[in-house]
Amino acid sequence: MSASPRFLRATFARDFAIATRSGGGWFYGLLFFALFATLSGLAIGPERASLAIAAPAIAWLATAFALQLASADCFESDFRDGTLRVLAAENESLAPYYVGKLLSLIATIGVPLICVIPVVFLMFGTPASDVSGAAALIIIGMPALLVIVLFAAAIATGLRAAGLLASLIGAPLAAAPLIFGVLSVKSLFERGVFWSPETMLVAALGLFFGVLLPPFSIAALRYGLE
Amino acid sequence: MGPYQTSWNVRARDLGCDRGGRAIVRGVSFTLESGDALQLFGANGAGKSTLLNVFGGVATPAEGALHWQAGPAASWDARTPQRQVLFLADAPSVKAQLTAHEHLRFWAAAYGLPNGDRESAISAALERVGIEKLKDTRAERFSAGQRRRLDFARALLARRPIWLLDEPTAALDAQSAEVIGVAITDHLSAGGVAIIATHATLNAPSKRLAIG
Repeated sequence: MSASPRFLRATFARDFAIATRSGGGWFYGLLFFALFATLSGLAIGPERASLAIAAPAIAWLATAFALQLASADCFESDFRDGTLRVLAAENESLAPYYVGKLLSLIATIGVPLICVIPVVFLMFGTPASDVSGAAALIIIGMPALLVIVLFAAAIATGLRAAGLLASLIGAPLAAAPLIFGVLSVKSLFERGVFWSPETMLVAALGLFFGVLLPPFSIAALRYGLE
Repeated sequence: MGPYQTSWNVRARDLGCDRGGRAIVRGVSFTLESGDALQLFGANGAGKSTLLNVFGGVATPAEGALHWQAGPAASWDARTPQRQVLFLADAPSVKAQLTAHEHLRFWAAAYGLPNGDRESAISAALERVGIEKLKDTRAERFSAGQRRRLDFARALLARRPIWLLDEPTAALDAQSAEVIGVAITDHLSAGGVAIIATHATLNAPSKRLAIG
């Protein structure tokens, strides 16, 4: 086996161990998700009809914010302690490192979010028969959101107020997946259509950003070290 | 330590580098052959670390040329052979949440050490730098010197012929600095090259070049 798959697996294992030990970004991301959904529900009021209308937007926004929060300083720790500089000097490509980080983010925040998203829909009065479909639609949108938040984190690495800057960079890029993601869930609720044109667009955006952003993220990490 | 498979030579001609758009180093020229070491010395901010970044391919030189040669018969190449480089940053690249063993397991995998050799290589490296008893202790409990020694243990795992070391003996007592000096001497004896930015005088045979 070449060094790259080992390097990828090692990055994943290291980041997973650190994340589960330190109560890092994933914990705050999940906490934020729960708080945002709960406070939104309280702000909307007790009417079930109003809650049901707001459910798709709240679930999508909470997911996007939680991912953003969990990943904002994803590369920052490695930048600060010199690990990123060492890895950049000792490897022609940071691609295995990037993929390891992405997989670690999926394991530490993506999977927990997938587990709690159905709870939010139930809280907001979504019929039980639609909950799994609505959660699946958010899962379809997650790849786009994940590569966007990692791109924003890579651009902001090493800069002052990196976490805040990452949020500002990521927000405009996340607009399209969020808009079509919310519409795809509404389409499921109102017309019972899972594979609507909006769902196709969300999947296409995931593919588009998934191809486009990782190379730019990796280049941004190297450029940030110069 | 057995000899390296490839002996590397490095040549710099009128090398210069900038930081924040300001020229900080100009006119660096030297040639190192397999078995040579170069100590870069100079005041804080003189550009030693920036120069090491250029050697490591992390930064681009503002002027001049840097070339690498994989053995006397090979052609000179401007690209840094990064898979042959061991880079030690000025601060120890150590994660507080990981034990010494976990830290080195990450680097052993990053360096592509076969699974079968990994544990013995990690134990040998920890023993060599004198922290084998801290194998299962998290680095958050390490002193600054112990962190530096753990970081240096990477150099012994990597088995890479080009060492770029930034202040390798910072925060170390005389005995630990001696261990690192011996490791560098062994590395050179095995045919490696080393470029070392340092304030201290290392106990290893080397050329010296003033920066700034």
